[in-house]
Amino acid sequence: MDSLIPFTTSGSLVDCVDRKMLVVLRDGRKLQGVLRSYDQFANLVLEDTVERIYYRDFFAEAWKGLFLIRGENVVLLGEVDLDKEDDVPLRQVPWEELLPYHRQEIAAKKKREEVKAQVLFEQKGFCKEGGEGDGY
Amino acid sequence: MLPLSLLNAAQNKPMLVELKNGETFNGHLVNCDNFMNITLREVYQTSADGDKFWKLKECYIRGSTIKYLRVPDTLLDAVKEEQTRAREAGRSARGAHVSGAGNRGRGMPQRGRGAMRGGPIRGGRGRGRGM
Amino acid sequence: MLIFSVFKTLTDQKVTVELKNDLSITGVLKSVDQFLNIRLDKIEVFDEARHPHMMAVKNCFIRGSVVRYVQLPAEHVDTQLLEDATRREAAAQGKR
Repeated sequence: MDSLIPFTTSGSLVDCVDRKMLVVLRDGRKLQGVLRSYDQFANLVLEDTVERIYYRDFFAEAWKGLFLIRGENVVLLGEVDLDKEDDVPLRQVPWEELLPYHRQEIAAKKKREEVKAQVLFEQKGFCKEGGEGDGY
Repeated sequence: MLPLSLLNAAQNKPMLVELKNGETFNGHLVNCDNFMNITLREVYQTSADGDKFWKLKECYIRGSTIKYLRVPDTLLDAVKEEQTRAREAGRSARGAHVSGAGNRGRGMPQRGRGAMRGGPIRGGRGRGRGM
Repeated sequence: MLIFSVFKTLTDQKVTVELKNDLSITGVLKSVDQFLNIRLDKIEVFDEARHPHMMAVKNCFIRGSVVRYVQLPAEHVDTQLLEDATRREAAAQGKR
């Protein structure tokens, strides 16, 4: 007989505990760590966390430690497949090296989104968002 | 253990709090509540751009403005250990604990120091009211 | 509640979720909650190169508030039933 896992936030997260997870935050940050705990708001406790930045075929990591993340700032939570991880065709470089390129890309993306929002507002009647500052 | 329990256990420990607007606060946790509202002491505040700094003796941060908190890595182990010790102490002091209505139904059961409500621990992660 | 109920009937179906940042993910719907947070298994990310952080991810939990669309398999949605239920709810709401 199949166990009926309740259709709840907790039910969706229960088998993610003690697994290596990718967390994407609303500000665009990508964190990877071991999910140790969560609650009904999807607040998360992430252990041994690294922050990753990506640029073209490269990525870099910075170790950040133990995080308590407020659930409303989470975009998505992904279970990292430890085997698939080895096949990822990206090269790791030092954090300080990649950071300026990453920042540049973020700034460019922000500009594009601003222009897009402006055009949508002027030409299509979209409302100007309150500027939630979402960077994901 | 629940995220907010971890926060409660972090009282008097140093931590870094980043707000949704990117400002950061480095200080020692004085107190916190279920809304994640916190008070810190001996605080170093940094602006979102990292170019302005303030030192505050103490501050109150509304939970709804928090993006995340970074706490000492040793905290998780320290808390687990304390929980185990408290459980052992509770067990040896009370002996076998019989019945009483287990705290099921709404919300999470009390996982306080010692006090093991009767019966197996229901709820815990993933069960209970799951909002 | 109505849309939550629709999703509950679609577990184990293939759906595509489009996020507000244009990221599209196809996967098997494993779970949903009252906030329309979605749990997908065996995911495939569209245009993976633009989202390299997703490359090693096989299952994910997506927060409802970041979803723009969810594409559903038409053959598994009884639109007639849905329409009737919607009218009933609207009528009940109107009475209140």
